[in-house]
Amino acid sequence: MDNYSNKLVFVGNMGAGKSTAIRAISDIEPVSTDMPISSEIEAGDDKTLTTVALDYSTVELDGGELLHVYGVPGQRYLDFMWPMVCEGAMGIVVLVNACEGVAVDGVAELLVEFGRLAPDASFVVGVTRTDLAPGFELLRFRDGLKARGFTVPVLKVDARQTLQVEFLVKALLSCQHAGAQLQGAPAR
Amino acid sequence: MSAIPACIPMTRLPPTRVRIAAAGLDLLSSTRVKVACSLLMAERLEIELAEWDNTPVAALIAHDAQLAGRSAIAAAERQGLPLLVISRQRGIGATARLSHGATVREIADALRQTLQQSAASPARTVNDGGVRLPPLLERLRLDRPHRAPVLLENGLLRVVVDTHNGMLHMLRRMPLEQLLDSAAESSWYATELALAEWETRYRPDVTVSYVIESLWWQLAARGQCALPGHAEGAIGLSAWPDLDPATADPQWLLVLAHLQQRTWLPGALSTATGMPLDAVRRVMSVLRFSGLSVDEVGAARARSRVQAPSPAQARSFLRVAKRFGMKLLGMQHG
Repeated sequence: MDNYSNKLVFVGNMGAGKSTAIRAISDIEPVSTDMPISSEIEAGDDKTLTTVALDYSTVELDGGELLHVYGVPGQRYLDFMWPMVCEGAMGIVVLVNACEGVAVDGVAELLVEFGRLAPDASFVVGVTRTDLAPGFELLRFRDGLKARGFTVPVLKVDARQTLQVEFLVKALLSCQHAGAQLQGAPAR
Repeated sequence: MSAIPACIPMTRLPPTRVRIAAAGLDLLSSTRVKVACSLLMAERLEIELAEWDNTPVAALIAHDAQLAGRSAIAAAERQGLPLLVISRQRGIGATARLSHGATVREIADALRQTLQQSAASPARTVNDGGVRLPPLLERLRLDRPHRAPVLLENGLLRVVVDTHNGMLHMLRRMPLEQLLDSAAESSWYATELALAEWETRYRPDVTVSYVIESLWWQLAARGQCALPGHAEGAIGLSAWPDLDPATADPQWLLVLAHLQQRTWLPGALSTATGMPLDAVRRVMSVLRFSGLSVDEVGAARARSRVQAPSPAQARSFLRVAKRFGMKLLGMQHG
């Protein structure tokens, strides 16, 4: 029987690498609602399409069960989709593009909002395109989130590389496992 | 016979015989050291001067201009042996130093002081962690009070370690791989720098700089700082390290995730995660050395706290974990 709480959600702004990351770990070709990028929007590379609504894909588990993988835009004007995909999610991956001048406050807001929508989920922040942003300082970004109360894994990731996206998912699952286990652990 | 009152200071020391090793001394220094030892005979301090060969000695006197002297100094520092360095460079820090060309009297005074300090603090041979790392790694530790910049040299590699700012600066164009490969060697020679000396003499030569915290995890990925037995106390995680997905061991993630939630002892964490005790200790050691450990984990953690899962959720979760190549303990398997 399928379990619809088997959900992973990737969230991030345009160009963060959501569709690419989902494709990297999916068993099937993701369903995406891609549209041509408006000429007024600076995409920053050869990107010609962007996901305007959501990405959806699945990963098959033992016994035919499915892990549902969603990608949702992080822009506020599209937040009506967030509650639908977050319900029961076990993990949220926040992706940010290092070339976009990563705003700590923006990521912190997403963590707050998605933490409210998916209280049982674990979180990880993946930073893409760090190789193209020599001025980006991951530790400063991490410390900025920590200063706002978020001690979550913050990891560089190449969204095209399956092993790297899987590493991000493993970090998320590790957090989920450690948290789940602690609920039943006796107090020391 | 009447006893000497305790309040009367002793003007003469009881006869003392000590063996001191010498290494890398040039002719001038060697001659003056020998004469200084003769002078100390008048103070009933009989010094046997021997070549440095790692046999037990009370102290080492060495000149840092030659490789033999630098190697001996590095070895003595590792062993916590009392040390008197003769150098053409001005130095700061805990090690006793004499300028090249020091007079016989200056050498005699410094030797006496070194031996007195050695007698007064026999515990110097062991550092506070019970483990002494190779010279470069010791200087990279971020869990110690920040010290002045240190110049470290090993063959063609020359770096300045600035723990105050958490940076390692390369002074020559050398591949990082070469630095990482040789980081655990014992042949690194350290010279503490005055801040002005670092700024004016060495900083202009910096070719590239690295964040020390990240270097620790790169070293860990190469097994360069495996120190089982060091991390014995309970620690937690203050912040997630900058792990390189291409080289980091995914098993570390489970250990780090547990340490994020609260403090753990290595044995208990090994049991909880199913990871070998040595591997857990290694991660905990690196966490400590990289300055990311805490003795207490605050109550307000990020939104990685979760509700206790239902049995069905737990089974599904384990299937997801298995799909991503993880073997997890502590939950009922489906």
